[in-house]
Amino acid sequence: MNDAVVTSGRRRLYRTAVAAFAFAVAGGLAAAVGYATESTDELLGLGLAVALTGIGVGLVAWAKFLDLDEHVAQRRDRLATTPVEQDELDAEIDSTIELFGRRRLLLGLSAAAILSMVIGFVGPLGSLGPKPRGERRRTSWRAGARLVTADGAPIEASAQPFGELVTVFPDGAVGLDDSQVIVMKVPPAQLTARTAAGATADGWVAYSKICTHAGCSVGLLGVDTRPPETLTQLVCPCHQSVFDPLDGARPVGGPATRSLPQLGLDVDAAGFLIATGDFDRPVGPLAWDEA
Amino acid sequence: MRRRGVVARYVDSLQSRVGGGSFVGKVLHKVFPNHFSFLWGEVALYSFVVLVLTGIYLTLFFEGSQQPVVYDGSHEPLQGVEVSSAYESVLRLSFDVKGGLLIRQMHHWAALIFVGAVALHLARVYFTGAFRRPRELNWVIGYGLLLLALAAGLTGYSLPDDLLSGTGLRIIHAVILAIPFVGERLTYLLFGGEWPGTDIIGRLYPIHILVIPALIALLVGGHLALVWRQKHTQFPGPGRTEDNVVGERVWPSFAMKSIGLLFLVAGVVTALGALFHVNAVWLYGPYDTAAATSFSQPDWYIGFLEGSLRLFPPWELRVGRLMINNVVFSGVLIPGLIFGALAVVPWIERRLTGDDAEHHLLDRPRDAPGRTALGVASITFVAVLFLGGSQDVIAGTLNISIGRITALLQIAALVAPPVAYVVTRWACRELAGRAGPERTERAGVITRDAGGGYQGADADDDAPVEAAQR
Amino acid sequence: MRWSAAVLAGPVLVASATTIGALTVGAGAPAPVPKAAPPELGRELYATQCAGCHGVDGTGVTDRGPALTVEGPAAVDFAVRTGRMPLADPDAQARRSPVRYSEDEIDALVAYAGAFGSGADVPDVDPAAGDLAAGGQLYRLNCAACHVASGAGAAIGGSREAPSLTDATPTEIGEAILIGPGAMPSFASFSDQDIDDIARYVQHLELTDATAVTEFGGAGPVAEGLAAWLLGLIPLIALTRWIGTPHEGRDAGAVDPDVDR
Repeated sequence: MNDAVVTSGRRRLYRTAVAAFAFAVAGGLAAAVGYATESTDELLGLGLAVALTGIGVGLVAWAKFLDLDEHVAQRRDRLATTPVEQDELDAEIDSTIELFGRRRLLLGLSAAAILSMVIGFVGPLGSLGPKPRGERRRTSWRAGARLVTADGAPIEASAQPFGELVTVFPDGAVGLDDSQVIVMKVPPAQLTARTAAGATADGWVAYSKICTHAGCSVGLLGVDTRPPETLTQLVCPCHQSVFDPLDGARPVGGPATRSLPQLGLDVDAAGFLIATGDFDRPVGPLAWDEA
Repeated sequence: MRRRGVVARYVDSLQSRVGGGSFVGKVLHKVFPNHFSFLWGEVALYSFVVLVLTGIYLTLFFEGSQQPVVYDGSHEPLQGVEVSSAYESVLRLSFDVKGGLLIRQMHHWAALIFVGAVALHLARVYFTGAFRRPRELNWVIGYGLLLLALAAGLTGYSLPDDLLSGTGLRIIHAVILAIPFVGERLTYLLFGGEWPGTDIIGRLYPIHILVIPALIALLVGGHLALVWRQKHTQFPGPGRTEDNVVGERVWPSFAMKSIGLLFLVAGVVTALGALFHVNAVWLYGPYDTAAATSFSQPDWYIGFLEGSLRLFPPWELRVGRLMINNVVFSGVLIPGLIFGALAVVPWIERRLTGDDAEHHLLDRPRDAPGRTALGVASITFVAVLFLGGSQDVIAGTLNISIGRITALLQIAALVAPPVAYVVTRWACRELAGRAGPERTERAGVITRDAGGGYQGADADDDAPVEAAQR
Repeated sequence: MRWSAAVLAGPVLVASATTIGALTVGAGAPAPVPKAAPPELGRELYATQCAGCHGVDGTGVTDRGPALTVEGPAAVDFAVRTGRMPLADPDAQARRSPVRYSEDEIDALVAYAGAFGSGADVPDVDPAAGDLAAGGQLYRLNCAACHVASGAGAAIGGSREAPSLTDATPTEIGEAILIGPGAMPSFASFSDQDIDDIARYVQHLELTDATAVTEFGGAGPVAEGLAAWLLGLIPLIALTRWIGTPHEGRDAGAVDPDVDR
């Protein structure tokens, strides 16, 4: 009944729809060609993108072209309950209570039965993981364990490089997460008394690599021994906690609150670095009762 | 009897078995208002559709296991390296399956967009007051969908078991570990023992592809059913009342545009997946517990948590041997506050405004200055957290030290939200103070006379706006 | 004749050049390079370009520049070849800059100033002999922490920056590994094969454009998230604006009373 006038706007929409669908046809075929030939990953992807977008644009343009420009009104249902319905509900609840309420023994026992069933089912959930038995408080480091790199090569105490960060594990336990340690050599004079007391060897000092904030590996070492600015700091890349390796790896920046546990070092008869024992406290982030 | 077409016969055969009244009347002619911001929820829905479809394809190739295997595919820099099965399967899909990388990229881009669209939709619902009675339940369902979307993203990007996502899981582990009483036990249950264990990828996999999508589908069904039943809200305007809904019919207008939007969302996602590489797990390398990389951030939507962990000062509470760890404050309490408040928005509103009436007409944000200002202040706080999560990227880009950026953002987290509140409240009052008519542009009114001709008339600024007759 | 004149002129030249250098340091441009035949070229270059901050014979000048007695040929070559030196502001971190000197001048400086210190010689790096997989593992374990998995470089700790590796030549990579310039630790324990491996891997990162636009500057999830909003959600919002109406409610629409339920 309505003779919709074909304005220039509507004509543009019609043409848009036609073009969009045409592009979409081409896109799908291009995608197929892109897949069939070894040509490019991108032809497949772009062809698909054009096909999908073309269909989308076409449908929307077509809908707008129809220019229904509707402003239809629809009445809303009444959602709130009427007093009659509320009375009905109240009556039903009352009669239900009337029916069941007096059987207290049955009610109580059925509730207890369901509860007991739930408790019974908790058991298998516990099998998801073993009970903690303090494994977190110990690592694989023992007195006399040699420090070795990931390739298994031990560290010679007489090796020279200052300011190099090496990731090491106990000999025989390479790759074990809780035993990852960073060791570096600094001029002994730069170490504070607190650090030396933790047992260093010829300027070699070792700390746990696990950040005490949230457990990432503290893999960044910034060391600049050229005046005027000297700098030695360990940085954890996750939340930018900064530790001072010259002073027991205590936190000097970022959100970490505890220093990295220090591993005591000594030199064995063959001149290689060894540990003097395990860490004196748990490594990495702690549970609430491990302070 | 008129011969009926095929479509009519089939639809009718279905309808006469299901019943429920006129299909045409109840479904095809249902009315939806069509403000463009009402489409953002659909963008989220359609990104979810893309996620499911591309995800099914990915499950046909992915191995959800940490079993070690030696990589022997076509990506040279990793040949001969021992990696987990999960990582190897992702590399195989990316390099040795034609079109595999594209589907993987589409899946990742769709996830990034999915959460963003949910956030946009949530903001629209909040700022227009669409969560008021009778839609509080739908708000809670939507809130649940937001949490599920975040969970889906987190579990999803952790599946390839690469260095970046593995580091992220490590952080989650530390946050759970620090929870008083149950922390250690919970981590043992989740990870099957000490970190890293050999189980976590195998557990995240079914959670990501089955449990979470099923819950999302369930909640989305409820979400849409409620919208259908309660009818969509609408902005106030001529002819619009609390007792009606004005807009276009499902068939054909709304359906065509909606399905068109589905294809547009899929098209945008595909274009992004074809042109730009994201999540290049082959660069990060397999997860190695002793390795680290800078720019260690999670996918963008977890950035608020990252920022909280980075910005929170080095405080912890110690009583003897017991400790409320730093990450409890930054990783549990602050996110808990944010999400706790978000869950009960309808009831906070009711308490603050005393308004318990049924509302089907929306507020323009300027007409509810308190709600809008509170919303802007909250978003400002969360935005500062997001910036905090990228503080090293910002520092590197702007050539400012990380320490300085961190300090600035810590101050901003406290100062910016109240400032934003005040400014927004003022802005709302200013905007609301300006009267309506001159802001409704109407260049000209076209009327049709009895003879069928069309006539244009210049708009008179002071005259009431005439309805165009058809 | 020429030699004795040079011997006499030498100290005078050095003294006056040191004074000139001391007066001009921090102003940006060192004195112009006088023409002389090598090996004098190295000495004269050093005197006019470097002595102002690094002192005569490389002993350093307080508050200006460190001593070069711990450096060596590799360090000098690295600093000069990447344009890090001359450095106008001694407080700023030295960064890659346009190179000031020609090949001959660089060689001369390396020969002269490199003799001050006992550090590493300029390494002979051959990426073609490197193993890509081994290089990748070494890179991820030792380098990615600061230079980022893609080689894009990152801000570090307080006020330092690990630079991008996209312009680094294999020789520069070897030199940096051995000497640890600036805040970078030195990895002097790496073997020649290790250095070849890493150089090959870094070349691979450069070749595959790991930090190019397609990977958003190699900055990882932050850049990807920004891209998702700018390239994904904003266009989608614009599309919804096209699909829906922007002024719903403020339009004067005809309301056909349609009493469907």
